[in-house]
Amino acid sequence: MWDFDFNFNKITVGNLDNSGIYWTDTDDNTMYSAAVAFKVTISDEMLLASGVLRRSDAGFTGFTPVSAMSPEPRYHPKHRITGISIVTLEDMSPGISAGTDVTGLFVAHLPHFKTHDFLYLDAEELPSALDQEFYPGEPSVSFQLFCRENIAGNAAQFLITVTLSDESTLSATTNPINLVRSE
Amino acid sequence: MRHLAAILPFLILSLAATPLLQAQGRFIEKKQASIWFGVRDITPDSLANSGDLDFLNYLHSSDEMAEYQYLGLSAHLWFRGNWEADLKVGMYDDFAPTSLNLKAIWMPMKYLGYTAGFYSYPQLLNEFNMFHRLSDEGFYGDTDSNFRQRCVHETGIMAGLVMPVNYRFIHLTLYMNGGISTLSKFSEKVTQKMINGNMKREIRYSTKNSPALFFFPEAELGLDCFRIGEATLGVRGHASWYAVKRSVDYKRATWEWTYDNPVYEEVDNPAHRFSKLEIDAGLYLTW
Repeated sequence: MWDFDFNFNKITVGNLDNSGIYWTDTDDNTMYSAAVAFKVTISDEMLLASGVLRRSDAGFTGFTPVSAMSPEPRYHPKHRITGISIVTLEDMSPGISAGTDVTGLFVAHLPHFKTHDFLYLDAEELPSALDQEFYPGEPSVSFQLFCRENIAGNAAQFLITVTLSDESTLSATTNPINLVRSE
Repeated sequence: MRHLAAILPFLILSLAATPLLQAQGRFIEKKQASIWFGVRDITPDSLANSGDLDFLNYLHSSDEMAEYQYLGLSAHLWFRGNWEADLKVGMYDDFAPTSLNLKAIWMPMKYLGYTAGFYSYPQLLNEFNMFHRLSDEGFYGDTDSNFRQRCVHETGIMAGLVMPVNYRFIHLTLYMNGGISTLSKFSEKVTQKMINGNMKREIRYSTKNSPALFFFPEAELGLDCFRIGEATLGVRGHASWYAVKRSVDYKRATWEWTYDNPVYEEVDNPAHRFSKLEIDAGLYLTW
């Protein structure tokens, strides 16, 4: 009764202020050049309103006592997350020009994933960390991306693309970011 | 309460053993039980910071007063054949019996004997993360905002000489103990983040055994005050000094950004001298 199917069909990107010990969401398009960070959310555009009751498997099913059932709805993606790529739309340094795939220059944080770990995940590890059989609570998943480079230029902008198991993609472009140097 | 519960079985066993001791009254010629209160002062030398964290720079000490106060219980047994046992247990306000001074004594001569025993006491390492907060510029040196404190134990075995002097109601005993001890091993973690930057770093320390020779003289003075039947009630004073020179070396693992590719290092720190002075006083009952 608490299982729903859903489609990942929306991606949103927001800015993070990671100048302090902990990051916070921000609408400011100015970041320190060594603290470029974004929050990415992929979800079903219709969210809960479009939740479709997941079909029960035909045939016999095991007995599950009510006390053992999760009261939280579980959302099953029709198409799983298989890849993430990040392309810079600005020159980051003399060796990293606009149009370069810079996924390897990013690390990530995924809430509730190894919550006791202080450090980041490599961005390449994100697809396997994000890919779940179901998502509890709501048909969406968020993660944070952090650039490892101290970007040499005065501006930054990135195209973030998530690939799904049906080969479809979801893409979003970050806001143009003005970069400042730390004193 | 947890520690009181831990002491309770010991007390029950002691009571249960009383008839046994009475049955062996000829084996134990004399017994003494004491209770006392004391203060403990730690004097470490503090060395200049190098590029590596030196935990012994952060031994809890104060210029103004004794760092620790403790309550103690002790028992001294005189056996036939010139053998004695001296057992002292001290505890801080948590009532954990963590300070131990256990000795077997053999007295082949009236004024000179030999001791062998075990010694252990706890002390605190405080705010060792200040090393990183002060030295790692450009970083939040420790993202853990809690007061960083760790209890470590000096534990060793010892041997030495004992010189008792008894004159009427005055009982003076001098111990000259020495031995080898080590500071308990421990692990600590420091997490750091770059100011105005994304970079994060995690440093984990695992200390090694740190055996070192120690010198531990003690003086005990007892004054018999009243006789109550077969028992004698008296007052006692005790002073001791513990001196050691040791270094705390460790393995250090450092991760940057992710938990891949840690850098492992072996760090040898310089040796520190530190000493401990204890003075306590209380009452005893001998029977």
